[in-house]
Amino acid sequence: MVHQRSENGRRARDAGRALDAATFEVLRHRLWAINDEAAVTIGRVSGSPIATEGNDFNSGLMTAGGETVIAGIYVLVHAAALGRVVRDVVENYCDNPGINPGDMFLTNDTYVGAPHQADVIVIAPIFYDGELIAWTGSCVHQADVGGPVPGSITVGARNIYEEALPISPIKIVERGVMRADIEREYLHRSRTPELNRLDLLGQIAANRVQTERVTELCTRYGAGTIVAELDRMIDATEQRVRDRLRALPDGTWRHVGFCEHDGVEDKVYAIRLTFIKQGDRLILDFTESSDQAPALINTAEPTTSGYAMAAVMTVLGYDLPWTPAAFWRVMEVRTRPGSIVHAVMPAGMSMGVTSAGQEVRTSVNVCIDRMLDASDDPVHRAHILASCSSSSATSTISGAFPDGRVFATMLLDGVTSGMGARTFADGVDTGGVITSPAGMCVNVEVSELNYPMRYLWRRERIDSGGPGTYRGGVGADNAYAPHHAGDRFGSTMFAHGTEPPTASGVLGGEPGMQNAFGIERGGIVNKRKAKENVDLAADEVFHNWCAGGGGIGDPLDREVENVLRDVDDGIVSIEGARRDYGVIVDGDSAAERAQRRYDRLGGRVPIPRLDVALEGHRLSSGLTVQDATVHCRLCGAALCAADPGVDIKAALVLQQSTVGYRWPLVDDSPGAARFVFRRFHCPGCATQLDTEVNLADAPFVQSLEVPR
Amino acid sequence: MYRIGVDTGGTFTDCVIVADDGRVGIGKALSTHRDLSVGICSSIENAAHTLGITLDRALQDAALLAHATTVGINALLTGTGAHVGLITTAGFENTIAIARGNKVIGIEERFRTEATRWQKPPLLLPRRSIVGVSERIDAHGAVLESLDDADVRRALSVLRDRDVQAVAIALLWSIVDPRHELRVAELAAQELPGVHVTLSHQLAPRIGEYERTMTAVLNAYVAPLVSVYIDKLRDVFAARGFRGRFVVNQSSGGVQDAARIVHTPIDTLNSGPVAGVCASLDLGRRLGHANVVATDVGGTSFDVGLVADGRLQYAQRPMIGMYPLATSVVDLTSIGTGGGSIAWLEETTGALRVGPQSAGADPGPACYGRGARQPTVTDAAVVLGYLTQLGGTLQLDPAAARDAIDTVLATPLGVSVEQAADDILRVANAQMADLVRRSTVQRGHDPADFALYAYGGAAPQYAGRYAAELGVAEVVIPAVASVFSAYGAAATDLRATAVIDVRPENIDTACVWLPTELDRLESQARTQVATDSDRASGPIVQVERRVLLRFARQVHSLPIVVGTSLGVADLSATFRQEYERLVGAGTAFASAGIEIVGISVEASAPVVDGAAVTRTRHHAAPELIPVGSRAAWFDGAFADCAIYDGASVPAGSRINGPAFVELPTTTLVVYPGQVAVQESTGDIRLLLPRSPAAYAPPSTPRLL
Repeated sequence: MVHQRSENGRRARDAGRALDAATFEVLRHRLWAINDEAAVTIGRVSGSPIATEGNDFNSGLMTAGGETVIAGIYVLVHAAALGRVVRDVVENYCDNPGINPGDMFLTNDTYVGAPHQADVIVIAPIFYDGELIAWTGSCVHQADVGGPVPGSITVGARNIYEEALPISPIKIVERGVMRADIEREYLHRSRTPELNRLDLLGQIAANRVQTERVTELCTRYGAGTIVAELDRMIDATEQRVRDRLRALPDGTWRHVGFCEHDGVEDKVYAIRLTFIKQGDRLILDFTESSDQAPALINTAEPTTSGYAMAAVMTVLGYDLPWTPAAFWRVMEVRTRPGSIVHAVMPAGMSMGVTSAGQEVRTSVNVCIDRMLDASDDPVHRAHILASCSSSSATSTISGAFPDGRVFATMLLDGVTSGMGARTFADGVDTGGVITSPAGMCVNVEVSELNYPMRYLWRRERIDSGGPGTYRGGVGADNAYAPHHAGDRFGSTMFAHGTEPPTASGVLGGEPGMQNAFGIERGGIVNKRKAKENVDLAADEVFHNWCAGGGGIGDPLDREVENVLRDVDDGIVSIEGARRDYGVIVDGDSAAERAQRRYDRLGGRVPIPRLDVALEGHRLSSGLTVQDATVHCRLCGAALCAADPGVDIKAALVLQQSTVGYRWPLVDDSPGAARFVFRRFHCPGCATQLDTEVNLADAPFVQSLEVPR
Repeated sequence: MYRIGVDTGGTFTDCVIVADDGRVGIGKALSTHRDLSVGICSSIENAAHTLGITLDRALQDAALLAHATTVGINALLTGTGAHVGLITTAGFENTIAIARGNKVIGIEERFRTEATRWQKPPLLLPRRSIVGVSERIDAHGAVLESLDDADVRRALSVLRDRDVQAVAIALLWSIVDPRHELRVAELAAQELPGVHVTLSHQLAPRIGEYERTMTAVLNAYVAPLVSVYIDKLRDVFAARGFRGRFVVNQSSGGVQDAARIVHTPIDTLNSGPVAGVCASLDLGRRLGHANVVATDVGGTSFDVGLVADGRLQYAQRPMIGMYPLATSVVDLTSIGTGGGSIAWLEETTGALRVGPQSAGADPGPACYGRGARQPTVTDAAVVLGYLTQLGGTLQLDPAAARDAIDTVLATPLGVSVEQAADDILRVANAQMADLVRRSTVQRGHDPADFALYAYGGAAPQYAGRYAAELGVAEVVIPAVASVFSAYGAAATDLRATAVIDVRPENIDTACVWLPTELDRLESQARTQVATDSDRASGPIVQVERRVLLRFARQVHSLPIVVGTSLGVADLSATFRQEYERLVGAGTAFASAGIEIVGISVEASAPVVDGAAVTRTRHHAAPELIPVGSRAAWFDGAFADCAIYDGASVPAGSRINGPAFVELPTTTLVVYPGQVAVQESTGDIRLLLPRSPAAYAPPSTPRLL
C-alpha cells in the first residue's frame, strides 16, 4: 500500500517550512535525545535479557497520523510497526473506546502491526491543550506471551489458533491509570508474568517520559511548532531520498529467496521480488510469492512493508537521517493477500520475522545492490552491501531446574551470523542481521548463570563466509548441553536456510554457508530439521551453526595474500582456500586459478580482460550495452542482443552444483536436492558474473533486465 | 612543601603547584610527544617560576607529584600498544573477535547510519596470539575439566614464539574459582619471565566473559608502555631530587601509587578527564556544593561529569570507543561539540548543523586567519563581539570570521551575519544542554539542583548560556579553570575500589554473608590505599560500601550505599527510594523481592596530610573599574558592554551582565541578567536568575 501523508502534517507543512534553521536543528536534536531517554528507561526497568542484553526492542515518536519520525537503532522493524499500530488505533478507536490524554494501548497483533506475537507494543497519544499532536510508543520482545509452547514460537502450529493468540489493541492505561482488569488478563496468558510485567512497566514509563518531555517542548515553543518540526523532518528527508533515487539508474531487478519447512511440513516457500525503480520512486512487487503457509513462517502485510522499508533505509539510506516515514513515502509495496508475505486469517506467524520477514529484507537488499551496481557513480557503488543471512538459527530452551523451578528463554546465539561483503572490504564477521543494528548475543557465563546449561564452545565458524573477491563475514558456531537440569531440558529450534543458503552473494560473489542445527550423541552429529521440538538428554550436545554473509565479486579474483591470512586466522581452511578461491597453500595458486578458469569454459582458454573496462550503458560491474548488444565489460565479449526481455544468463556459461557442495552435512540432508546453486561465467574471460540459488527445475532468475 | 599536579594533553602539558600557604603556581608547556618528560619538566618549571622557585626546588620540596596521563589511551587510539597474547578456555578463543556481535555500539556517530562502515571493535592482537587451554569450571565453581600443566606450557610456548610482550589470562568462571587462572600465571612466570601478566579475575571480577576478557586484553595491551613510561618519569624526577610520593590519576577516580598503577594501567585510560571531575568534587567540598555538573568545553569536545550528593558517579556499562570495560569508571559523557566545531547548512533539510567535524588546531577556526573558510563556534563568538583574544600571540581576525559565516550561512539563509552567528551559538549550546540533560535527567537528577562548573578553554564563553537553558542557578568558573585536570590531580585523594559480582540472591538470605564479604573487600581496598612505610601513624581512611541491588528478575541494578550495620529493612527501603527517584514515583514493586548482584567497597585516604587550600586572589585592587568597553550582540542588537581585566577584579566584586571578564587564555561572558561574583579564592561565581531563564533561546521561535 502507498502511505499517505497525514492530515496533521499537511496542516503544519507551511509552518514547518517557515521554522528557522537553528530552531529546526535545536528541536531535532532535542527530540532525538528524548526518544533515547525513553529507550534507556525501558532498559532500566526491563527484566528481559532479550530486551536489555540483546537489544531486541525499540522506541519511537510518531506523528498524530502515525508516521514514524524518530526511532532508535535497535530493531528497525519494531519502529516501523509502531506507526502501523497508531494508524489502526486512530482508525478504529476514536469514538469507542476513545483516545484520551493519559491513555495507552497495548497489542501484539500481527495483523495490526506487531512483527510477531512475542513483540508487545505499547503506544500512547500525546495531547496538548486537548489536541492530539503526536504518538509515542515502544516494542519489546517478550520471553513468553502464551500459547502452546514456552517462548511463544510454535513449531507445528496449523493456524494462528494453535499459536499464542494475538491481542488486538486494548486500552491498558486509561487516563493515566493502568487498568487492573486488562493488566491481569494480559499477564495471565504468559508463562513469565513477572518478566512481562516489568517490561510493561518499562514501556509505560518510557511513554510517560516521552510524553512529558514533548509536552514541555510544546509549552516552550508552541504545539504548532512541534508538529511542524516533525513534519519537516519527514518532508526534508523524503526530499533527500527522492534526490538520491533520481541520481540512480531506472530499472527492474529481481530476487528469489526460499524458506523451507513451515513447521508442519517440509515444504518450500518462495519469496519473489520484482524491484522497479522509476525516477524518484520504488515499486516493490512481491505478488508472485508463494501462497501462505498454515502458520509460523508468514508475515502479515504490515511486517512485510516494515522489512522492505527497513532494508531500503539501511542499504540506501547511508548518510541520511533514518526517518522511517520518509523512506516509506517513496515506496510502493505490492503484495497478494493470501501469500506468505501477506497472510490472512487464520494463518499463524509466530516466527514470521526471521522467516518471510527477513527474506523480504534480503530480497530488497540484493535488488538495491544490483541497482547501485548499475550506477556510473562510484560513490553509490561504494555502498553496495552483500546480504547477510535471512534467518537467525535460534533456539528456545525450556524445562525445569532440579528443585522444580521452571525456566524458558530464547537464546540469542543466532544473532551472530556473518554480514555481507562490501566492495572495499570483507563482511563483518559475526556481525548479525543489518536491520537489527544493535542486536547482541548474551555472554556464555550469563546464560550458564541463569539456566541449567553449559556451553562447549562459541567460536567463529571456518569457511562459512560467502566466497568472493571480498568474502562475506563468517558466522558463529555454538554448542551447548544440559547441565544440572531437572527432568526435562527442551529445545525448540527454528531457522530456515538450512538447505538453500539465504545470504546472497552479489556481483558474482557466492552465498554464505547455511544455518543448521545438530544434536550430537556419542561423537556422532545428526543434522536436524529447520524446525523441530526436541528434548535433550544429559549426554547430548546441541549444535547451532550460524550462516555466513554473502560475498562480492569472483572468488578467483581475491588477493591470494588475503586468502592466506584467512587461513592463518582460522577463518578459511586449507581445503576451503583451494576449493573456494583456487589458492594452494604453499603451492602454485596462479596455475590453479588458470586451470579453474579453463574448466569454467569447458576446456577452453579464456580471452584476456581489457585494460580498461568497456564503455557503454552500464548494466552492472560485469555487463554493459554497446551497439544494441550486451557485452562483458571486462573482456568486451558480445553476449546477446540488448532486447528488453532477453535472458542474459542464457548467454553466460552455466556451472551448476548442489547447494551443499561446500558442506557435506547439507548435501546429506534429503531436502537439499530440491535446490541448486548456479554460477554464471562470461564465455569470453570466464569471470564469474552472477550466482543464484534456485529450485532444481526452475528457470533462471531474471536478476536484471535490459532497460527499454 | 608543595603538591604538584601534571596533566599531559594532546597539545599542552599543564601543571599546578599548590604551596602549603595556599599560593598556586600555574604552568603550561607544549607537550613533547617524543619524550613527554621534557614537556612535563618545562611545565613544572613554568609553574615553579610563577611561585618564584626553580624546577629542582619545586621537585625537591614536593611532598606529592600527581600525574594525569594519556600514554595508555594514546597507545589504544593509535594502535601502538604491546604485542599481547591471550590464554583462554579452549572453545572460546574467539570471544573478543565475536564481541557479542556488536558492530555499532560505541562506533563513531557518523557511521551509525552507514551500514557499510559498521565494524567490530578492532582486534588488538592477531587471532594466532589467542590460545585456548583445555579446562573448564562451571557456574557453581565445580571443576568439569582440570587444567593440564603440559597443555598450558604448550600454549605459552606458542606465545613465546610470537614474542608477546604481555599476556592476558581470562578463563571462564575464574571469578568463582580462580585456581586455574592462578596456575596459568605461575607457569607463565616460568615460561615467559619478565612478561607482564594480567589475570582477568583480579583485574575485573565480573560475570560476563566478553567484557572481562576484553578488559584484561586492554590492560595487557597498554601495560608495557605505561610501565616503561612511569619508570622513566620516576627516574627523571628522582634525578632532580624528588623524594615525595608519585601517584597517577585513575579512571575510577582518585589517585594510586605509581608503583601500583603499572599492574592496572587500564585504570589510566581516562586519567585526565576524570581528574577534572575529581577537581570538581574537591572544589565542591570547599564551596559547599554537594551536587555539581562538571562541564569541560574544549576545542573539539564537550565532556560532562557528575558529582551527586558529594560522590563521584560511576558508569553502568563503561566503554572506551567500542571496547567495554569491566572495571569501575567515573561516568563521563562526551559529544564532539567545542569551540572548533564547524557550522554548516544541511542540504535539503535546511538545518543549521554544528559539528561533529572540527576545524582542529591547524588551520583552526576562520578567525585564526590561517585560511580556513568554514565557520566555527569560535568564529560566531568573535563576530558577536564576545571574544577578541585567546591569549598567547594569536591575533584573531574578525573579518575572516564574518566572511566565513556570511558565505556559508547568512547569505544562503537570508539573515544577517550576527543572526547567523547567534544561531550557531544557539545550536551549539542546545547540544551541550542536551548532553547535560542526558547525564542528569536520565539518571534521575534535576539539573536545577546542581551547581555547574565550567572549565576547559571555551567554557567561560558559553557556560552562562547553556546553564540558563538548563535552569541552573549558579555557575562556577574555577580560578584554575585552564589547568583544571592538573589541579584535580594534585587535589585528589588516594582511592581504591574492590568490586565483585555475585550470583543473584535475595537480600533476606544474602544479608547473612554480606557483612563478612564486605569486610573482606574492605580490607582489600584498604590495603591498596595504605602502604607499609608512611601509614604507620594510621591514615584517615574513609570507606564507602556499596551493594548492587535490583528487583528479582530485573536486569538493571542500582548501587546503594550502605552503612556498617546492615538491616534488610533499611536496604530494601533505601533501594525502593532510589529506584523511584530514578524511574518515577510509584514504580517500585510492593511485592517483588530484591536481589543483590554485586558488592563494592571504595577506600580513600588523603595522599599527604592536610588539604590543598588555594588562594590566588590578592586584595590589592581597591575598586572595580572596567578597562574598557566593546560592542557585543545580545538579544538581537549590539550594545556597549564593559570589559574587566580578570587579574585586577577585587574580591567580592559583582559584575552585572552584559559584560566581559578577560581571563589569561579566554573570556568570561556575563550574559544580560546574570551577575559575576569574584571570590577571594580566585574562583568566579556566575549567578543566574532562577526562572524564567534570562538568556534562554526565545520561547517563540523566529518565523521567517
